[in-house]
Amino acid sequence: MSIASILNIARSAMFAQQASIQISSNNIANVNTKGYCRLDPDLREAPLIPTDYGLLGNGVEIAGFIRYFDKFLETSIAQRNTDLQEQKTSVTYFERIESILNEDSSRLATNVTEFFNSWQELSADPSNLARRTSLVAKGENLARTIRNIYSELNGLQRELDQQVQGEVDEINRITASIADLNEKIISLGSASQGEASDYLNQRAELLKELSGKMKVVSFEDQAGGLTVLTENGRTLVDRTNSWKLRTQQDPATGFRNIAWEDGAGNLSDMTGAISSGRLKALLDMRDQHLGNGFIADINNLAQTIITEVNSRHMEGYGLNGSTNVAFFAQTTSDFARDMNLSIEVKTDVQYIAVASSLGDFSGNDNALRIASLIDADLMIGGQSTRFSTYISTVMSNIGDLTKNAQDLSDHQESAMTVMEQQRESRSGVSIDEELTKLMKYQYAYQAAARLISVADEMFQEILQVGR
Amino acid sequence: MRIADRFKYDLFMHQFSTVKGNLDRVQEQIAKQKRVLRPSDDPVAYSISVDLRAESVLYEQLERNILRVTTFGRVYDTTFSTMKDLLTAAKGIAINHATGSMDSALRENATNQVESIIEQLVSLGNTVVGDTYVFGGKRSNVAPFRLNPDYSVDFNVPEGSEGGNEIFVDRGDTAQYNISGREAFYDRSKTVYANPMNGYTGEVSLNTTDLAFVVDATNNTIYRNGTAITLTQGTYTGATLASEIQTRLNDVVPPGQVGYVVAYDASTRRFTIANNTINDVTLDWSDPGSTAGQMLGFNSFNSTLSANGGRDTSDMDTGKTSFSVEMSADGFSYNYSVDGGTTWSGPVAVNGGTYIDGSTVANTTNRGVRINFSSTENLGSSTFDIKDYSIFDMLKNLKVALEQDNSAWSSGNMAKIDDGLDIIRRNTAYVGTNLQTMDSLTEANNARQDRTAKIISETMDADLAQLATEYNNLSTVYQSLMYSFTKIQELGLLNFLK
Repeated sequence: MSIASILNIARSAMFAQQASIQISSNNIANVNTKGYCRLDPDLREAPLIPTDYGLLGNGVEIAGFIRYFDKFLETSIAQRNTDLQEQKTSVTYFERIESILNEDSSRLATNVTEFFNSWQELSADPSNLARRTSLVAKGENLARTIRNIYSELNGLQRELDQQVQGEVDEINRITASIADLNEKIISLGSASQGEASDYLNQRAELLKELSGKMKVVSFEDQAGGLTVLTENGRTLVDRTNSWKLRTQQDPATGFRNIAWEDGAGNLSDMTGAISSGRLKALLDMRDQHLGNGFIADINNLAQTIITEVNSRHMEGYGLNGSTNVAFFAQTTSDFARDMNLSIEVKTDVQYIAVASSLGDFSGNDNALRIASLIDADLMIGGQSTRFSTYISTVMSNIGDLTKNAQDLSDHQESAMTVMEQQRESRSGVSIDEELTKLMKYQYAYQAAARLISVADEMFQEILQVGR
Repeated sequence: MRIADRFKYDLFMHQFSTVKGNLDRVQEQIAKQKRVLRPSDDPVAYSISVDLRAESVLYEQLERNILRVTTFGRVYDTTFSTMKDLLTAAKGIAINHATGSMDSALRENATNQVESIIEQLVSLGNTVVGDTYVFGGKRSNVAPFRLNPDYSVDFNVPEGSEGGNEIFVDRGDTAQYNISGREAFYDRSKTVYANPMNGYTGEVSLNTTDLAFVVDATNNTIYRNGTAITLTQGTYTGATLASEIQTRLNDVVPPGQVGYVVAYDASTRRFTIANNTINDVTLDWSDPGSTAGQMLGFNSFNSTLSANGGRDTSDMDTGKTSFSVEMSADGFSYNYSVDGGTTWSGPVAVNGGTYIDGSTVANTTNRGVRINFSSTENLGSSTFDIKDYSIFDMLKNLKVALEQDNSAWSSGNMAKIDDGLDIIRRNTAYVGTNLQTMDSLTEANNARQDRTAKIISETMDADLAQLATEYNNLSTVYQSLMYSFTKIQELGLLNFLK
């Protein structure tokens, strides 16, 4: 036991407190860093040294760092993020579909009614060319409205298809990054949590981001390497290797399907195996809600209008004695996309078949038959209904879907907030706490410095005795 | 529980964002005065409002249609009132002339009055509302009447366009909005007109005012879906012929199934065939074998009648046939024409046969018409026309009678002026009833529009007082949030250590 040993103890204390202050500083610096897990120094008493009086303390040392990380919580957050991102994506696109179909902007129901009202107007004065011209204008307006809605929905569908490609690219980037981080974490060794902390934080954030895109299963091996699988068991990341997802065009629809690529470059379709996440929302929106949903609805509406009006119109007679002339251009498949007036009607309003008999071409029977369609129960998309009811059902449908998605998104958001709160409670940085610690370490540092001063004075005293 | 700083700020951000979002929503609702701005705000309410707004647009159209019927009705009402005055004046002239006390100056004056009456009636007949000739029938863009220099009047509306058009006045319910010149100035009862220049002063009459339908081997077949249906030969009225056609059509309908209904409308002299079977059928009027088509007023175009109620109505009036009769010089026989005087028959003895062509049986030529003369005195060289009643023809004859000072004609044809007044009374009554119906429909339609507007308003419109209160509450919450944010910031150790 010597005065020098006091100096050694003071030195170890000053080093330890200085390192602690550095850790606190880093915590404070990362107070707003997403996914950051706070660290604490793991201070331990230095190994005791034997003296004549027994074992005595020999100062302090930093055994390592404590990383406040709750693995279960992080996994739960990642899983929750899968549902949250799916609902958020759904909300975004449902709101866009809603804005396209919204009656206030599209005026679809109004234009359909006004079109059939124009037939009534014409029936009141069948030979009036101004009323015939007005009917043509209303018909063109209706056709344009339906074409515009179709075009906007179709554009949205194509945008979603491109988004699918973008998401797949992002997934590949994330899995490659996770594999890269795995390599760094494994090379540092499982015992070096402090050194690997930054990589672990980044990897946890990437896993959360990946989970938002599609449902994945992940687990960590003893060396710290993370394995990530798709829900149908396809490996995306295994330690330092990553596998890619690819898109391939479906020849039937022309849209992208998703496939998993094995090491040999073979592709296995897994579009149907994606059950949740942003990618699932994009696929559902593209194929179900738009393709088989609202685009089909608007197409069915256009088909019924074209078919019903044309079948009656072709039985009637125009002012010029014409018959068997279609009012809307005949089309066999993409009714909404191609909806337009026939060339004859566009170029000469006398082709509008208002009369039902050649001997009575000033009559209005045929106009009345067509006008009555507005109140008729017709087969639209396989259901017997009226035009306005069908349109209001479509509006109600998009309203319900949007509202449900918003409610679910709000619910997921709230749940996520609670979990984030728990995570932050465990891993987040508190300025007050760090300042307290800072003061604690500062005082300890000052005290250790004081020890040196005391040891110095003791040395001086001894030196004085010797003079 | 530890409170981490990032979460504290994130939580505030989330709360600020939520309250601000609600504030924006309420602000938009106040600005647009709507509670429901988009389908997701209230899907059911929005759906109802879309349906109701479409209905509302339909009701606006019905309102315009009813207004059109009402406007036309008021024009007809005024027109018929003026027509009645004019015909009453004509009757007064005829009464005075019938007494035989008019000197030439008075007759000349009376003739001028009758000419003026004809001119005014033609003018009334060509009344225009907007750009529509109200008596133009279905062809409403061309003047229906033309006055000739001899004061005869031509009705220029083609046969197929003579009727009135209907428009919707209620959901699924139509009403005729115009009365054609045919309805206003003519009648479908067959009338015999004696030329006022005739020397004959005896009575002349017809055995019927309606034409018979005579079915023989030349006109007894209808082709349906390519199969011949043969009508029983014989003489029919419109109603009995309709019944015969219905029976024959239903012969091939399986027992127990609903078949065809055939009706004859005496006011238009047209047949209507309704297909109440469960299959579409085609009446092959274009088939040369469909020999009954012309007699029944159908033109030579096939008609497809849809199942469960599809109908086909005669394209032409089946009773237009007219006869011109020209007596021989001795007054014992006459020649007749059925094509307006282009071709003539051989001599037929006066009161000799059962029918006008001298035949003892009804046939497709005589249509069951017989002309009777009370005597043969002064009958020689007289001419007669048998055709539908016409106010213009009657007035033109009155004019000639005045010019010829044929007071006997005026005396003998007084009832024909009354027939004209009857047409006007009938049409006036029709217009009155129609106007009353339109008044009721207007009220019902207005009530419906009000109700629709009310439901839309209740469903969609905003309660401004409620929204203003909500806005104030949210503003207060927002301010409180800002205040608490400031306070929580102050509570940091960092501030304490400054």
